[in-house]
This record gives sequence, structure tokens and C-alpha cells, in this order.
Amino acid sequence: MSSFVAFDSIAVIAIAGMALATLLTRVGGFWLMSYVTLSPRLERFLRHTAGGVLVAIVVAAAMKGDPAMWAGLAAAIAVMLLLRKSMTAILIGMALAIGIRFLIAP
Amino acid sequence: MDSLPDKPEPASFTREGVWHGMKLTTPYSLSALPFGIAFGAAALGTTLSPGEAILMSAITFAGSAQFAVLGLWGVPLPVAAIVLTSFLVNARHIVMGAALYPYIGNLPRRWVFPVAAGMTDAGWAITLQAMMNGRRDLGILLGTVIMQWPVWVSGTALGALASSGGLDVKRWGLDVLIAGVFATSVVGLYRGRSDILPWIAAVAGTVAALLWLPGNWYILIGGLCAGLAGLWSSRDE
Repeated sequence: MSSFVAFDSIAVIAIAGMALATLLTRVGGFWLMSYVTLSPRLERFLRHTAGGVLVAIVVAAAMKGDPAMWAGLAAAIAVMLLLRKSMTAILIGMALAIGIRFLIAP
Repeated sequence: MDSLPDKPEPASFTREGVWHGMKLTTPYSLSALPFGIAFGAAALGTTLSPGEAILMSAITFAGSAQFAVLGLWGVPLPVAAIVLTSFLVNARHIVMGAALYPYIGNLPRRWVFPVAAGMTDAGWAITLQAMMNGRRDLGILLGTVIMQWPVWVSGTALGALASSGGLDVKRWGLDVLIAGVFATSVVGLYRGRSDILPWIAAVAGTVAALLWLPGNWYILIGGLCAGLAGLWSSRDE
């Protein structure tokens, strides 16, 4: 177990590099758009692209997931459609997945 | 079209906006805690020290990228691969920022850039939804950061300091929790029939990329497929 205050210089460089790369992506979109004129078509493209990114993350989770993940996601989406309460939906999906996994391998 | 308001009313940056953003983020804020704990615990399974894990959460503040690089963390440390992976996993933020820009483009960069530095997926989704509903206030995005950053960092600290073994992410349903955050965001973003074709395209592109491409390309490809399908499906408007 490494000590709490142990800071390896290479690790700190890697972490700083991660932070810089992440900062570039977070600010980059705003920065680029201040140079590009935004047509309604481009705006539509970007809006759908952004939605597609969220869809991609969900699809990847489902494809890499087990039946408990599928049931949990389906329940979360169904509850969200019915109640429009995201945390309720997420917690119900999570509880279902925990239950299914417990039943399979207690 | 409900994407941009018809009235060219300038965006603002108000205290009320910050407060509104904080309230909207409360449920996601709670969900960040178990993930922070899970990350802190998982990080200790590598050569990362608790201090390094907390530093990473504090200055990177990007859950999916942080989990992604844990798989690379070893001796010797592949610094270039770690930095590149962070960029690729987070490349979606470029598109997200660009999608938010039209709503707050009139605000000065010295306000927008520091706030954008803390933009997460959930924070972006919350902000975009609020802005689509007519509330163009940079404070909302800042509110999402205020509600998530301290939770993520202290969760990491809790996990790193308290866990000697590893936390079983699957047993506690934490993987379903994070996927659920994105799934409910998608439901909340639905704006009508014009979204259906782009989402089908996103699913197809993502599945293809996951099957045939390595790494995290599926994120960019899924997004681009939806964007192109969105252009095609609304070409007559």
C-alpha cells in the first residue's frame, strides 16, 4: 500500500497531461465555434451529433453489459418515460440490476 | 424548430442561474458519490497512490477517461497513451461545447472558458435541456460544476482511503447507474419524430464501431452518424 503523500513524478506528469487534454476538449468546442459562422444546418448537425454521442454511450453500455444491465437500462428508460424523474428512474434500474445479479450469484 | 429561440435575446450569467443549475444537478450529484468511491477504490488496485488518485479527480474531473486510463496504469507508465486516451474519450466534449455555443455565444470568453473547463456529460445534458427550454444562462453550467466537482473529489478520497481491497462495481450496480444517467438524458432530450432517424443511425454506427474498431471510436462515430442522419432527414425543411 503506497503512502498517501507518495507522488511519483512521471505519474504527476501523466495526470497533468490528462488534465490538459481534457481541458482542450472542454474548451475546444466553444473556441472553434467562435470562428465558424453557425448556419441552421450546422446547428442541426451539431445538435443531432450531441444526441448521438449520448445514444452511443448507452448502446456501448448495453452491448458490453449482462442481462442485469439490459433489464436495469430498460427499467430506467421506462420509468423515465412514465414519470420524467431521472434519479427515480436510475435508482429503480440500479436496484433491479443488483437484485438480478444477487439472484444469479448470491 | 425548438432548438434555438426565435428571439435573439442575449444570454446571461446570473446567480439565479447558478442556483437553478445546482438544483437541477442534485440527483446527478448524488450519483457521482458512489462513482467517485468506486474510482478511488479501483485506482488503488493500480500503482496510483491515494494522493495521485485524488489529484487526478481534482484536475481532470472526467470519470469515463479516468476509468479508461486505469487499464493503462502500470510500470513503466505509458504517458503518451494515457494522454491520448484521455483526449479520445473526452473528444465528445468538443461536439458538446459546440452544441452549447449558440446559446451563450454572446458572452465573453473569460466567463465561458473557465466554466466550460468543468463541463461533464451530465452537466452538459442538464444545461442543454435548460437552454432548449429558453433559459440561456451560463450560471446553469457553473451550477452543475459546483454540485459535481466536490462530490467527485471527496468520493475519490473516500474510496482511495477507506478501501483496502476493491469495490465490486457490478455487485453494487454502479455500471447500471452510470449507463442509466446517459439513458435518462437521452429520454429527456427527445424533441419529436425528427430525432428518431438520427438515433437509429447512432445505434447502427455505434454497434458497427464496437464490433470492428478498437478503443473509444464508437463515441465519435455514433455521434457523427446521428449528425449526418439529422441533416439528411431534415433536408426539406
